[in-house]
Amino acid sequence: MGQTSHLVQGIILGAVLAFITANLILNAVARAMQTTVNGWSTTLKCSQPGNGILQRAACAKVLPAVNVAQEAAYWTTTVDGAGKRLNGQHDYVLRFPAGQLPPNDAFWSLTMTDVQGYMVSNPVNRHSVGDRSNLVPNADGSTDIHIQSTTASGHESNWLPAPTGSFKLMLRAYLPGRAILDGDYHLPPVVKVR
Amino acid sequence: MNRFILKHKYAVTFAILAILAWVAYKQFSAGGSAFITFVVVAAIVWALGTLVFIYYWPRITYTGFKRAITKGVDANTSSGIPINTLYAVPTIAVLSASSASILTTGTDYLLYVLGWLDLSKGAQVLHVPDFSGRYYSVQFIDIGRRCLCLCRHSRHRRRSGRLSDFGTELERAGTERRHADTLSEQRGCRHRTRARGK
Repeated sequence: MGQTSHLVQGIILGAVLAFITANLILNAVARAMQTTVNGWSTTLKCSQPGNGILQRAACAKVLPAVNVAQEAAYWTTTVDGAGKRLNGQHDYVLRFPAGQLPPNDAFWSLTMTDVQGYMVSNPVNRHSVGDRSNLVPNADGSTDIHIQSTTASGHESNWLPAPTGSFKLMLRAYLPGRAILDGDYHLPPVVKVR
Repeated sequence: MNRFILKHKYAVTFAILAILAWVAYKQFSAGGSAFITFVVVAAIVWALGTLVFIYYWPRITYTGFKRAITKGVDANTSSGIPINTLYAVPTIAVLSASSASILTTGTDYLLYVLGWLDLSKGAQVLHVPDFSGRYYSVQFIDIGRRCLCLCRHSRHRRRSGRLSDFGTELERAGTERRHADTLSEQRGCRHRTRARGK
């Protein structure tokens, strides 16, 4: 009985440590697969048929059931351009210079979620903005997306409501353009304005 | 549960490790061959278990999706979505809504169509409704062959169509409709289409 107890406890301890270790390894592999520019992280390596066990597992962990890059490209960020955590206590602007919206042959959208990846309730029931949101460009052709928890006065059509706490942004481009697939296109930083 | 773990993963991990540290301390205090057995078993399970978890991580993940799909993804499917039937989630964003827990990183720019295919008894035919020229893609995830990254898609441009057609449009092969696939393994299928008109 006593020896069995030692065995069982050893198995339980080993299994828990194995689960945690696997998590740490897969997180490290996922980070290694990503490139980060202006705070936005992306990878074009997930869902490729030739991926090995580690890559498949890492992708299943961080981006389960994700499309191949030729179908969709994804970027996520939890920090602004200065590397500070995004938080609804501040106001932010994501400015796309003229002609620099994500190139695609289908659509693009920017989605607001909590840090776990779930959408956040807001009074106007708007969780995303994108190429079908009637964004109003600036006079110089650039496009600002106002990311803040309170109504962006004067910029309602370009307002992406944020929660009052920490949040994550995810931008996706379906049928991404060649510049994205070649790694030449980079999203602009999210800039804190207040 | 999924949401709870995601939100409190560090606290949960710390609590479990604290309990296990106490167990290890008790074993150490007892000393003798029993402690050595405890350490050896833990080390072996740790090493082998890490490899097993990594190897089976995709299968674990997609088995969770299968359970969610066959148990139902919303109030309309509380009895589950039958095998080989595709279901168009009627409310956009429901999968990643603030009150949901089935899927993170979703978006309300997409209408998700879900289904679990069992092709072990033969090929199936997937008829794609008319999407009025809107973008859509069909993605297959093969867990039976560990080819989890395999993705196939189609882009057709037709005229009118109804998303509700999907509930009955997965049929046996033999018609003139479009073949979804002919592999003989179980596959998860998630179909996306643009939910908003041009």
